Amino acid sequence: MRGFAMFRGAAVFLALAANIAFRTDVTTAGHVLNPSGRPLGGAVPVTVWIVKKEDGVPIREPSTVPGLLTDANKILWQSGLVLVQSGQCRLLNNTNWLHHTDVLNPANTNLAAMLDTTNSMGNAVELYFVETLDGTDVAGVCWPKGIAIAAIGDGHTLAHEVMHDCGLEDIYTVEDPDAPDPNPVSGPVSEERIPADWGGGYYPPGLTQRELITRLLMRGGGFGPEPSLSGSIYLPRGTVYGWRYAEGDSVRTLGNVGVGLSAIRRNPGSY
Amino acid sequence: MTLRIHRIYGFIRLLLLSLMFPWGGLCGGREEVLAKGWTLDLLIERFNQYQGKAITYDLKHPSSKNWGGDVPYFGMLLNNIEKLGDRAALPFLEEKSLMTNAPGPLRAHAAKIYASLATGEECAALLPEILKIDNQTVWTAGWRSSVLSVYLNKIDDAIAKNELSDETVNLFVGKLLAHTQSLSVPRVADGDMIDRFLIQHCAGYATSQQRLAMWTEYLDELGDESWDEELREKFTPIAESIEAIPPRKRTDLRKRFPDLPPLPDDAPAGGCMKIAIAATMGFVAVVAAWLALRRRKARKAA
Repeated sequence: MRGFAMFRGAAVFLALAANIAFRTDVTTAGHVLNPSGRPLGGAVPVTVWIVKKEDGVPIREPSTVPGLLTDANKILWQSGLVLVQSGQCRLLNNTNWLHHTDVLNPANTNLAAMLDTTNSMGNAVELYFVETLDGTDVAGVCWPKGIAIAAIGDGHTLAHEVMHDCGLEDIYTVEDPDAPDPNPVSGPVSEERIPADWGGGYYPPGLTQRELITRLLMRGGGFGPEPSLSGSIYLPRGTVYGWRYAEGDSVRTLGNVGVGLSAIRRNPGSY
Repeated sequence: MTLRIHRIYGFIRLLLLSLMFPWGGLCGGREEVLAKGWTLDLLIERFNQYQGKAITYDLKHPSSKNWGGDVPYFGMLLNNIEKLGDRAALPFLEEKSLMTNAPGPLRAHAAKIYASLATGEECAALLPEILKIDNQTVWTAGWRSSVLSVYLNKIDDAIAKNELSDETVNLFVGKLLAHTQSLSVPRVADGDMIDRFLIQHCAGYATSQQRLAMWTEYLDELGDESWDEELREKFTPIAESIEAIPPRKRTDLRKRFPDLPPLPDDAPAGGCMKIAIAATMGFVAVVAAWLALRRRKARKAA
């Protein structure tokens, strides 16, 4: 889902000299991207909060959280990040926080109240498990105050939201998935459409831009006939041409989108 | 004054606009969906067309339980079906509500939209089927916690408005009671809501042996996690209040609902008979042996 771009920029940004092993080649099915963007800072502490349902049982089984972090880490290695759970899962006793609506609205006081349960001052990612975010429309959402994951969210959702926290944008294959004619990105992959990644490897003849977008971690919102969203895991080096929401805009426009390592602005962390 | 007149005109205009659309166009969103070119048939076709791909993804990736992250797309199709407000969607929604290989949240979404379009009677028919799904653990059954409250409220309203016949209510109550007595169900997730409904709509339930059996089972199922402890504290007084009633005064609902399973405290009927027969046979054998011994002694004496 489209990340909530209300970050507190410079203060959070850490120029990182990563001492960790950082793989420089990302092999996708059919071509190679060479991400040599800015490596991030290794281990990222994650504090976990789970909202309890009306019957008193947590909305997500606490013992499954380490597995979810492992799944996210299998994707996040490309950015040099490793999520590490900090402390036990904490339970939230407020059923008003099970279901959130209007989750992209910065004036959403209910979501803000939940995310204000604690303030990690940017030193940890605060992860909140809830039942729904805008019904079944949203699997996860990233606010400066923390990341909320719905019951339909998984490790892929978490990895995607963490990269939003680093400053990356969503990219879409279609203009409007809620229309029988969704108006997909047309045409083949070309140098202007992936300027920083062109020449990084072999691209199968006839590979379309739309197909390429379906491989990207920052692909937002699945679309029926396309490959499943969970299979979209790659971080390119630079921008990629596709549908995007311009800052503060509610309609999608075509353009080069910051979905790669070059778009990383800061280490993930919540406030 | 002018402002007031404008407000009245505005209100009339709003009223007329709302009457233009058969489903209350101001709030339903039906027109919006139709304007995008969707029809109910097309929405159903798209759902069925792409669900195969999503199910295949889950089968190939056993850890995935969310159709490869594509739930929002299918949720969007369901939202549009809800906005169309067409009761012809009920069979499709029923099928998706009971679809065991669909992610729980998507199934719950379909079930809630079904409830929004269906009558109380139709909800009373579907809910017992919903309660049979994902009964393995308290976690797998979690998907239906919000569904259950929607259905029970809908049925409750229908009863209050006399829209359900006594026969329908009785049948539904019987199925709900059977659910509470089923050993395969992690009932802690549903119990409180069902308990409150049955107290209201099933005479004698509040002091019944079945209610005690249900709560005893609930409390036995709880583990030692922090939330289990809270649940134990919350529900133990209910079990204690029924235990305080002398056993003879507790209602046995099997007289009204003969299909209910035996209670845990029941001595097995077959077992009693066997004990009685064994005791009789034993007694006969002892008497026979005693007679035989007496005869032998009498012969020796002769």
